[in-house]
Amino acid sequence: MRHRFLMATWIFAATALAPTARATGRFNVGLKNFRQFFEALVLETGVNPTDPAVVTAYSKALTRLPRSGAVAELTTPTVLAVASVAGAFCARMIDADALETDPTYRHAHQTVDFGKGPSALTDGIRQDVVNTYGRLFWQRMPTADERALLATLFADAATGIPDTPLATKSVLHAVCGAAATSLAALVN
Amino acid sequence: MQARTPIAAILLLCAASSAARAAEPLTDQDKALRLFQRIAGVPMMLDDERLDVMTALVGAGRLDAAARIATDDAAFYRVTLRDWASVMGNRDESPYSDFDDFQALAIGTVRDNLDARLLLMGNFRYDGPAAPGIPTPSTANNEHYRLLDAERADLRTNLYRITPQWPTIPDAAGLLTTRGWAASHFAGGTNRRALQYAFQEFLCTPIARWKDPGLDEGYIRRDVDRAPGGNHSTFETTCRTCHAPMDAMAGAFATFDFVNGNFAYSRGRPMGKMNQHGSVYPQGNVTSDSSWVNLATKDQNVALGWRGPLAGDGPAALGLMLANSQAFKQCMVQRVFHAICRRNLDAQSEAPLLDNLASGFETSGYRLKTLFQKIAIQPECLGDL
Repeated sequence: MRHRFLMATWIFAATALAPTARATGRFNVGLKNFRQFFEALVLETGVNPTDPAVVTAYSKALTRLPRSGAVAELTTPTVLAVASVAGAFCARMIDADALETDPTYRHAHQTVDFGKGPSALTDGIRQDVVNTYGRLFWQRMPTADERALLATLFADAATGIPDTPLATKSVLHAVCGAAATSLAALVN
Repeated sequence: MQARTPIAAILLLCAASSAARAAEPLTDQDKALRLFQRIAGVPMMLDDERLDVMTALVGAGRLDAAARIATDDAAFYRVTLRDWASVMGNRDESPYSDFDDFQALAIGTVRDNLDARLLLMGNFRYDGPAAPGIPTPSTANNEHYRLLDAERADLRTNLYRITPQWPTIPDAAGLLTTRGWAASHFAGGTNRRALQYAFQEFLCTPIARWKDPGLDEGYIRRDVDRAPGGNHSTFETTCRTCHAPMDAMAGAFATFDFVNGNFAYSRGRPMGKMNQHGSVYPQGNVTSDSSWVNLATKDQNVALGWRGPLAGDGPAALGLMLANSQAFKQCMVQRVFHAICRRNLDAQSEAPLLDNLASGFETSGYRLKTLFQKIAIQPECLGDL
């Protein structure tokens, strides 16, 4: 598990460093720095930036988040710090949406029934959630590959846990955290 | 709550997806999103009604107008300009520094698109709104600005230009006489650091590049040992190279100090620390006022491009000299370029671009907001938009 994580992180960094055809002219890829990352999550999740949970997570992770946004700052501690902050934002967004009885007022989970367990997360609902996360965190629709992996993540997260409303939030948190911590979300 | 599937798997997937997307040409919307994100420091949400406008402007080749939308966003001030200003305002050049009057002045000057030379000689500051619970700005503490930050004040709309900068300090020189600058560079020491950092931050020239052997040593103060360790050659080859030009100019800050959290000013007479340790070399120069002279005008320092008076009295005259130099406009270009383009503008290999941007900056009246907009749409910055 740890080996897979480190390997993937290495590939992630190498890919981010590599110039791509999209990087026409002299476009330099960078990471969001600490401030950009926090403020982006505020916009993407709609969570109040003074919410104690996100403020605490951010304060604890601050010096491990990218300082300048240089790609070379991408280290395992950085990725873990990013995950902890993104996780806090996701948790608060999901909690807030779960409390909103009128789904049309929710930030991201209009089709989710928070009164039911993960078994109620049908393929269609999962697809809708994945698309919404893509639009929020990546400013685009997910590709087919991304949809497939996030579908797998949905299934994996829902396996072996009780079919309760709390578990629904847990599953959504796993997927949200993954999307908010992905390359597409970190790159500036 | 922990993600049960390795996040790394998602990272890997998105890396692969990005590579696949790499082959696709950028759409006008992609370009608009990139332009906005690099200027504002945060992404533009897809349901933002401005996205259609920016996309249309990009499609029509009106990149400057698209860039203006991004510089009108609150995040440009909260994120991009905070980072840009913060690193210039403290000894560690840290982006983590607390919001203070230095940052507020820099951000306000950009917002109002004022002549950037005022950054080094203006007699004003930028305050937040007067509100219950928020104390007025003071030379004695940073509470006003700390609370503005804590309340996440919108810096685009909640900064007000106040003149004079400090009623009790007539020798105002923009950023050089902010409390934030004072806390960083007038605290302790002998105020030489203020000069060293003025060159470093606003001319992008660290002391190692502007020190010069062979300059007149007559301005070097009494606290500098002429034979450290008993060796006069050490003074000649090391100490003198920095102290000769530095001590000749640092007198501009002679009347300032920062003691116990208070930005202190002594009208008409130098602070005691300017002449401390006088017994080290009693024949050295005694600072008696805030006059200064620029000796860093020869050899490699010709490239700094001085224009105008090379001697004066007080920090505003010094700021005027710094701001009118060729190095100042080039430094501002380099700082803005780095903030938006996420790389350094190579002064050697990209000299024509640097010169062009610096000239345009001067011709347009040293307008920093315009400079941000112009740099962001350069192909060398964000690619071919």
